[in-house]
Amino acid sequence: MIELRNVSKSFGESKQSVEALRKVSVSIQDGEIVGIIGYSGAGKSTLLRLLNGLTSPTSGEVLVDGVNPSTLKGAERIRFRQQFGMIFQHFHLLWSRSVNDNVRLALELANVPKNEQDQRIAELLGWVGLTDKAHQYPATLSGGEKQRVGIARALANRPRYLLCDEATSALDPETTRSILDLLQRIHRDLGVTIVLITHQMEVIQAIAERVLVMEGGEIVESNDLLPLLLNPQQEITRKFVKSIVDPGERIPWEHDTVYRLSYVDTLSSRPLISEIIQRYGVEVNILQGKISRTGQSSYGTLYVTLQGAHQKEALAFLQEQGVRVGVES
Amino acid sequence: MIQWNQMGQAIYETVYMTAVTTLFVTILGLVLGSILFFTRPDGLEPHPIVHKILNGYVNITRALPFVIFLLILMPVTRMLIGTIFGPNAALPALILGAAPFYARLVELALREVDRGVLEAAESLGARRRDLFLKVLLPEALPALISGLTVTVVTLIGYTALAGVIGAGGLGNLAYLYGFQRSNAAVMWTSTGFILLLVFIVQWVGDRLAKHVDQR
Repeated sequence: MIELRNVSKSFGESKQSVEALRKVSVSIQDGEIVGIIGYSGAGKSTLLRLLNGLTSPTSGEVLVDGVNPSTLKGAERIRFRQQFGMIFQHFHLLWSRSVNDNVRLALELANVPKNEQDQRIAELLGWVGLTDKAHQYPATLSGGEKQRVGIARALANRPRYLLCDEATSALDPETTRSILDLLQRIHRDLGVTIVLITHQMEVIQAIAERVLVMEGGEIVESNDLLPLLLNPQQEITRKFVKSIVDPGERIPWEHDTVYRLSYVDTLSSRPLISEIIQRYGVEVNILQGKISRTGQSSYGTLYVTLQGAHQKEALAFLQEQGVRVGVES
Repeated sequence: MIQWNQMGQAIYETVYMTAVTTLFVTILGLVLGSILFFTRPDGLEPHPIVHKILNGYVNITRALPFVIFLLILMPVTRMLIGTIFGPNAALPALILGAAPFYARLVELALREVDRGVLEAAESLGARRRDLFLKVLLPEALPALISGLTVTVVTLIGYTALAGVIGAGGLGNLAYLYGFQRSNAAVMWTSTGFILLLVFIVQWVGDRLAKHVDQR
């Protein structure tokens, strides 16, 4: 488990110093996929680098299974750091080394004996699907392939945590999808705890189990994915959620009340709309709707108007079934 | 008109001065340049005092015209080598004059290495030594080679200049026999060989730099 207690971090000299993090406290459980979202300058990168000790806090403490990396020196510090793998937006591969040897770098730095290196590299490249590119140089690879090498390198020393620094931000949507699938596979099959930072809500939606929203060096909102999507509290969170949930243009409707029905799985597993039509004799006019998938489930929003005598009862029934009902102005 | 054994001797002396100097300049330049790189204010091991001193040395040496540098160093040369004539006498001035030049190019080459790659290596547990040997040097290698090529070309020019004031070699031959005795054939032949040397060095350097560059 990782714990941050009242962690602050400033950069620069005292007068013009910039506070990248302000009194952040958060804990990350083993086996989670935590997504941290925020605009650039929100402090996400700094937070990520505190976890593996690439930077140290100005005040407060970071504890990884009770160990504070700031107190470690030399070989202990190196071993501590090797519990973390890290991947980057721009991959940061060595162009002077082949794919094989980029992965080998991780093993060399961990003093893995030479005769074990080749087998481990083959295993890793097989795992990320790059066996046939082993002898190529990074310059000849596509963005997605480079990130796969980055992932193989990050996993080389069997880390417990994988830190992803905007790992898909430089990739096209399709490649992003395949990298996110790979990350999910890593989480599922290797039990690696994943902490990822991003400014893309799509990434959070696709993979995160728990979400931290950062703004101005603070964590302003923290929740499990679905509750956060269905019930965002902060303005900034609403903006992020809107960027994926907003169904876009809607038929203008001024005659009667437009209801917003948000739901998780419910409507997709049960024909609730037809149930309220039959039970309460209401007419349902669907103006707009959208269903999105997250890593584990689906959720959606329907915009409807109702006609008939038993509207209230129908809405109450929907609420009983777990649908959130809101009124659109 | 041209005494070929004399020409051969001059070529040998120029190549000798260039080769010995290159050897020392490579080592000194790499060491100096790396220290400059590491001790920079925004470097990996910031050390303002060391950086200022080395930086000052590099700047001053590079600002001095080489011919002045040669003259200033004469007493030092006499002390070290015992004479101020001949190819060996040129070595101290050549080495001390060219090493800072290469040091600056080494520093620049190392600064070109992507900071992100260094961070990635650090995240894998690289120490300073690993960063230098496994990341910085290999990633900067093409720039280190082309920097050395430029340095050696400059060096060949320096040896000619040193030749004029008595160090021997092609420059000496061109000046003493070609210019002062108005022997055009000697002057142009010596010049031709100097150019040939420069072209060979440039060609080999370019080929090598291209060979190691996998970008």
